Amino acid sequence: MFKLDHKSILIGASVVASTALLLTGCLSSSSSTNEKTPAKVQANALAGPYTGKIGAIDGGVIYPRENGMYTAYVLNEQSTKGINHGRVPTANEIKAWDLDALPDGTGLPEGEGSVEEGDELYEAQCASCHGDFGGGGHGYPQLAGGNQSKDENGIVITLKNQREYGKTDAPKRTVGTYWPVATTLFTYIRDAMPYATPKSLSNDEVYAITAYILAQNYIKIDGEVMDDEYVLNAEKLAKVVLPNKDGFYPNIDGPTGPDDVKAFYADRAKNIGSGTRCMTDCKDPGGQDGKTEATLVRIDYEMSDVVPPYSTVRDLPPEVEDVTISKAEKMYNESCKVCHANDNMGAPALGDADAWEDVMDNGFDQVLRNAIDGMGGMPPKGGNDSLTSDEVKSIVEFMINSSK
Amino acid sequence: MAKMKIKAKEKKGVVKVKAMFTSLMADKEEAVKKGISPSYIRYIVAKVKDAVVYEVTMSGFMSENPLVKFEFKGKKGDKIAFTTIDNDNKTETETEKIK
Amino acid sequence: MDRRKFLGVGLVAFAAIVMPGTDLSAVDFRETMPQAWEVEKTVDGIKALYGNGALKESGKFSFKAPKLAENGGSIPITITSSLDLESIALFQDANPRCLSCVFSVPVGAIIDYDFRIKMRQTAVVTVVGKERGTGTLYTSSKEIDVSIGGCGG
Repeated sequence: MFKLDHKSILIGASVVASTALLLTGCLSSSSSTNEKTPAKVQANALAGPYTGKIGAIDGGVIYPRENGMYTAYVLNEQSTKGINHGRVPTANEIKAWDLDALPDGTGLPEGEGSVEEGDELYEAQCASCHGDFGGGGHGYPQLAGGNQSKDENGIVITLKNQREYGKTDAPKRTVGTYWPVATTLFTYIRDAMPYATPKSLSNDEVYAITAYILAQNYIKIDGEVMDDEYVLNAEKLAKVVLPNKDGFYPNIDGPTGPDDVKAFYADRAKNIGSGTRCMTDCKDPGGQDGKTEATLVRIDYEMSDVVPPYSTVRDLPPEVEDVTISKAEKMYNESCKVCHANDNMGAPALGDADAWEDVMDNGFDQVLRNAIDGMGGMPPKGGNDSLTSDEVKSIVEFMINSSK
Repeated sequence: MAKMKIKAKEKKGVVKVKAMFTSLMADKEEAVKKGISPSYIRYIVAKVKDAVVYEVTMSGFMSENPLVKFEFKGKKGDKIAFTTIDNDNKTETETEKIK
Repeated sequence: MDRRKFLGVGLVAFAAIVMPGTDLSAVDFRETMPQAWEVEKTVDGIKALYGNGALKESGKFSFKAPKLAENGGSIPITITSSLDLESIALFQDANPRCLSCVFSVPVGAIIDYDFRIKMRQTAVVTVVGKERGTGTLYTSSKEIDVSIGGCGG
């Protein structure tokens, strides 16, 4: 096994190498004008294969690089000199790709739409999946509803600790309770909805639908309630503050990224982002000279060391045994009902006397054998391997008796 | 927070109405399971010019945030008024113009 | 269930029923027929609400419902009829008590009622309509398969 892998890696590497050579040959003549790449980049490119630094990965193990190999892997020592990785995109290309809208409204297109127009559009295009008034119920995401009030930490109450009323209800993730930034609601609808025909809506229509969904969640813009006549545009959309604004990870991009992360976790988990990375005079991770043993550097905190702590309390009410149904029926419900509840899947339906009469023409033993070994679209034991043959027998008897 | 969402639209003399009410619709058993007191709407009535156009009495076995749809003969511009009574006899009324 | 708690809850519900209602109701069935809301089985429920009259099936009285409901917490039901009915009720055998809702139909109304019910398990749903004047009872029933039960479990 190992040998084979080894060989294919080598072949793969050589293919890459020859392609690279070919490309170099073609491009060097045509792209001579583009060779004014900054000197720093050039120097890095010239260095060729990646050379690891001691302790480069926090908590990781670094093995020696020897004879062009890093453990089982072959190092690519091909020079990358003169290889051009594409070209600078043109202004128009950037414009065509740069479609997102930032939370502050940058990137939102012109246009406007009223709640009332949105109502019409929603009815025609969205309600069949997302339900009337955004109430869900058709197997697709619910868009409005849920509890939007927040606890003292600014977390939407229904999203906290995953269960509502401390009991059984799962959190309701709607636009009002979950969605953090309203501008992405606009871009999401524009780019991905309606499901069957995405991008078929004009900007004005998307503004209208966005307005309608926000209004269904009782979102106020600048303290103003969104009534039917309310007209939404880019400027107003940027002002929307959704209840779950702070419920997501901070912005990790850009120069302020590390500071954002630290600030975000200051009163949350202690194990992420608050340490200082070792830059000089660090502990020798070992393993570099081939003599000392490689050591693991461990992180000081446990993943469970968070504030507030993860709840491990098991307080779901115990399942109540329904004494009115037999053990066989219970097993039937678990393993067989999916297909045998009705005849949609071609299986003889429970309670269908004619279908079961046909099946029973083969005799009970044959039916039982089919149930255990599988038959046609039916997997052995209904796909539940843990059933014993006796259990399958009792289920089959139950199904036959229920279908007379 | 508003407790109702009402939409009424007239077309060829027939008004189509959709209305959604905010309620957990938790009957005794469900309330015990959730650790809350029972809370459900037990009566909904819709009137146009004081004439009843829709009336339903319910138990907690209707879906959470009940949504009802119905039609009646009416005209544009009239006002439809919904009134609900919940299990604690709390009454809510909201009015919407027929479009 | 904790018996004391159950009794307490029952008392609250009972109080809600017997408390004097407001004047806006034409027929509030929870007040006029409190006993009908406590019945467990459909057959008895129909008797409690409409008496012992014979039930008739009719092509003019039917309802739409999914054969298989993925979510028992929200099963869409549409009742339509071209008959002149006085009231319509929906019963099911899935929940602790059978009566889900009773419509009192205003004179001359279009009967096209769309709503959603909860069912905690697979069961037969029956709608019964009472004709205005004659008092004839019409019925229609369907079994609805529920894969995930409603009522919070």
